[in-house]
Amino acid sequence: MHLKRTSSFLVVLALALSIVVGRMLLPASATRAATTNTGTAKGRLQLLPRPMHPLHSSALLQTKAWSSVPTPTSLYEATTNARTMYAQGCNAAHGAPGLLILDWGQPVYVGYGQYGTYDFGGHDDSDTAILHAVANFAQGVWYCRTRSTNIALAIGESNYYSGNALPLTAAAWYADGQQWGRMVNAVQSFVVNNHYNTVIGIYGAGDLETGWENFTLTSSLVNGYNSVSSRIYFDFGDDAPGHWTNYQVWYVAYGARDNLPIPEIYFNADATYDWQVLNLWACSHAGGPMYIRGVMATFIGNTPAQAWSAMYRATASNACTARTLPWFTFSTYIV
Amino acid sequence: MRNSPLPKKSPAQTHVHIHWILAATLLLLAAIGVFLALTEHRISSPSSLSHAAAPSAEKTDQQTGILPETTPANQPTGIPPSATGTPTLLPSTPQPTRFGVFPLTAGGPLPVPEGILHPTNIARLQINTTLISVYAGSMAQNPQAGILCVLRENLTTGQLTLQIYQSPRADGPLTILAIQQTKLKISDSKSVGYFDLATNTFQW
Repeated sequence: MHLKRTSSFLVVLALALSIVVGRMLLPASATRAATTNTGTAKGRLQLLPRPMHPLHSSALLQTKAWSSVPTPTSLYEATTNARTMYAQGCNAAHGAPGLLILDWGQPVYVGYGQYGTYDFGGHDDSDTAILHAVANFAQGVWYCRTRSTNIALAIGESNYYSGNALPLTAAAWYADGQQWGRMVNAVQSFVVNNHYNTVIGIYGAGDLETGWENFTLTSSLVNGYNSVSSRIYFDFGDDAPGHWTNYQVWYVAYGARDNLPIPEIYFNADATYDWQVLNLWACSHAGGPMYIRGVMATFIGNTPAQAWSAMYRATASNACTARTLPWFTFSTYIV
Repeated sequence: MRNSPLPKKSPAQTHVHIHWILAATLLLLAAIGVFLALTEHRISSPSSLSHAAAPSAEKTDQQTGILPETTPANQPTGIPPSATGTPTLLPSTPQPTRFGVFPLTAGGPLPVPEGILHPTNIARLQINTTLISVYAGSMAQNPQAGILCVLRENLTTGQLTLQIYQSPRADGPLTILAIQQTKLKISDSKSVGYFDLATNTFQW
């Protein structure tokens, strides 16, 4: 009797042990239940490869201490050169954790059904060239990683238009967005397949500025992206008044399926008179507030600390928007 | 000898023997669990880069939870995961750079929002290993204040800087007329002058 009880116990123990060990070694995504992508759920997604150190997340919101908000550097990309990109990734690995954006410039049609960008160094880059470039950046992150390397990397293009870069049709902008989404998927697959995803995750992004192109074309770009990718798409553009309606700015920043705003807060007025006003509109007209996950600063106007604080204060000023503050954790500086 | 009866085991000996069998079973099951987990992980982990990669089904922060092959996330890093210790960079296609002075319609994207710069035109040049793009115009808030925004990228280190230089004069937007080695020939509404990219100074 004693023997029977002991053997049963050991078998159960063995099974439990094998399950525990198996779960520890399997990718978390394989065992995790699917989540929805809409509204509150997408606003609260864990976007970094690892949760931020407590000092970098909830604690900062309790103390409102800017000093604990890490600010990685986002880049206006001027080349797809492999070694340059690797060096940039290496620099990023040693930099602050958080969200950073690689801005590849304006969309262009490069021919033969292929899209790309006109970058800040005067080059036409196909999406394939950008794919390789960002993969090399990711390798730089991986090979130079430190204990604190923890990066959400968004690959961005803008809605800026000049010359005959891209046909001014919704179909062309939609197709460009689709190809961008596939490229983002491919880079994320590269990162996952090579197990770099403990230090870096890949997303899409757009510098969607209301003064640069109209809503029809810009929303086509966004919709094309969302039709093929379920990776978050960050809108790091502006809400300059006088161009689009509230609904239109809200749509590309948050209303579209996978979009989240990282607004440019170059001046305090951008937070108080543009984005917070839009967020109040969202509270009353769009079913709830936008989850603004962070802010972007640049070489002029607000410092990153000032930009983050301005958006924090504006968001905290109203009960509807204030409830999103626990997820307001990113700050980036673009140069 | 062959037909001699085997010595009969005592109950205590039988008990010990069964414990050994159970212990072995325990180890076997645990090993099966480990094997299955690793097999599934490897199957899902090719290392190639493909355009045809399927989009992730859900945005569930998929990057969490997958352990690196070489070191756990909390181990000291900088240890390359490959046997050779060097990354294999993906190829980058040669890029012909468009140097010169361009109108806005041909000079490419602006790294400066329209709330800051009202642009007039763009220049692009390379000095040693630094690629430089210059955006001329005026402050959006003050059209009389001529400015140059200068984006520099060190092509070796990958480091970028973006700086703004305001003309000491207040005679309207700046326009780039020509590139003369490390200087830009510029004009405002009243005069022609230079901006030296080596010293970042205006010469009127």
